[in-house]
Amino acid sequence: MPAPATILDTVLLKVASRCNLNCGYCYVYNMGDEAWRFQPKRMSASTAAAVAEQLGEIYLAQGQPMSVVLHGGEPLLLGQARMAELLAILRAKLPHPCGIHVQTNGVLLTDALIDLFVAYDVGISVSIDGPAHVHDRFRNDHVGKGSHARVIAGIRRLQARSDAKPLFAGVLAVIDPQSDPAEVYESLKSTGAPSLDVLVRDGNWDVLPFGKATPASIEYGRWLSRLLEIYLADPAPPRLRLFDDMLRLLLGGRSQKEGVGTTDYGILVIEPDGRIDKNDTLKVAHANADRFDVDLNVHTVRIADILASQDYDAYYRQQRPTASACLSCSNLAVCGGGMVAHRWSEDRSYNNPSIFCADQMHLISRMRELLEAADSFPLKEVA
Amino acid sequence: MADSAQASARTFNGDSVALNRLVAEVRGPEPMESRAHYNRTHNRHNR
Repeated sequence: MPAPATILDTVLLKVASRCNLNCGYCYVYNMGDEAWRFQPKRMSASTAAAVAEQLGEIYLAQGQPMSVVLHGGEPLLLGQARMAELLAILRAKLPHPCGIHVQTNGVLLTDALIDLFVAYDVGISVSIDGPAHVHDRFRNDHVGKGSHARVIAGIRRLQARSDAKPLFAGVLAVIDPQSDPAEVYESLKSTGAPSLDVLVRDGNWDVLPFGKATPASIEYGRWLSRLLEIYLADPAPPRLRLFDDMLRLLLGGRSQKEGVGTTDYGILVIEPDGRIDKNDTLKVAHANADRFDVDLNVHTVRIADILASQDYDAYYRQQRPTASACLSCSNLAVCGGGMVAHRWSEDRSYNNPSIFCADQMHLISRMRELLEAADSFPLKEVA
Repeated sequence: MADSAQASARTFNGDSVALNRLVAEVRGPEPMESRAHYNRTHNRHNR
C-alpha cells in the first residue's frame, strides 16, 4: 500500500474557468489572483481524457477510492455535450466507490444536466447563503443582480426529480457575520437539503476577513456558537457538517472535513488546460500560492510522479500547523489549525494560528459547555 | 419570519437529536463510506 502522503483523496476538476455569477467574496476572481484569465473557458475533450486516464491509473495503484469534484468557475458552464463526454470517461475509469460530485451555484441546473448526473451518479451540492436578502448581498451576477431566486429555482428543479433526490448532497453557505444565524439556518433547511455546511469568509493576518474587526475579535465565533445552539436544539435537524465534524472529534470520533481536526488530505486541483495545482484555496494567501515550483500539466507529467515528489511532500506537510501557539493548544485536535490559507502573513508565512483562532476558541469552548450539559454523553479528552 | 422566530426561540435543554445521532455513530461501527468518498464537495467554492 502506498504511503498515506501519496494517496490522492480529492481532485478538484476545474472544468470551466469562468462563472455566470460574480460573488463579491469569491477567492477565484475577487481576491487578487488573475490566473483564471489565462485559462481556456472550458476543459477540452483531450484534457478530460488525459485526466480520466491518469486518475484511473492512480485509483488502481493506490487501491483506495478518491473523489473528483467538478468545479470552476461554474462547472455547469461546461455545457451538456461536453459534460456528457466528461462523465462517461470519468466514471469508466473511476467506478464506485469513487465519488464524482459537482459544486454549483445552481442557476444553470437544467433537467438535461440532471439526467446526466443521474446516469453517472454525480452528487450535487449547491451554494446558497441563506434567505434572499442575505444571499443577494454578495452573490450577484455580472450586472449586479441578485441570484437567489434563480438558485432556488434550480434547487426546486432538482427536488422535483425523484430519481435525482438521492444525489442532492447538500447546500453550502458563506457566513455573513452580520446576518441572523436563526434566519440563515431555517432558510438553508427549507431547501430540503440533507446536509448544510457553512464557511467563514476568507482572509489572513494581513487582510482581515470581512466582518472581523481585529484578530482577537470573535464575530464569527459568536455567529457560529448561536448557530450551534439552534442546530442542537432542532428536533428535526439536517446534517450540519462543520459542527458534526467538530463534535465527532470531541466525542472521540474522527473528522472528515478538510480544515477540521488534524487529519491530512491529499488534494490536487486540475485547471481547464490540464495544469496541476495545489489546493486552490491557497490563493487567499497571495497570488500563485497554489502553484507548484514548476509548471505541471496532465498532458506532460504523470500525476503519480507528482505525488511522489518532494514539492508535493512539502505541500502535503504544509497542512500541519507549525505555530507554537497551536502546538501547545488544547483545542488543536478539534480545530487542526484551521485552513492553511487563513494562517498566512507576509512576515511569518504560514507559521501562525488561523486568523479565526479566537473565533474557533470561542466556538469550541461553547461546544464543550453544551456537551457537558448533555450529561448522557461521554466527553472525551481530545487534547 | 415564523420559521426563523421558531429557530431563535429554541434553546438547548440537554437533549439533542443531532447529538444523539453523532454519539450513535461514534459508538457504532465504522461508516461504509471511506473518507475519500465522503462528499467534501461543499467544503470550498465561492467563499
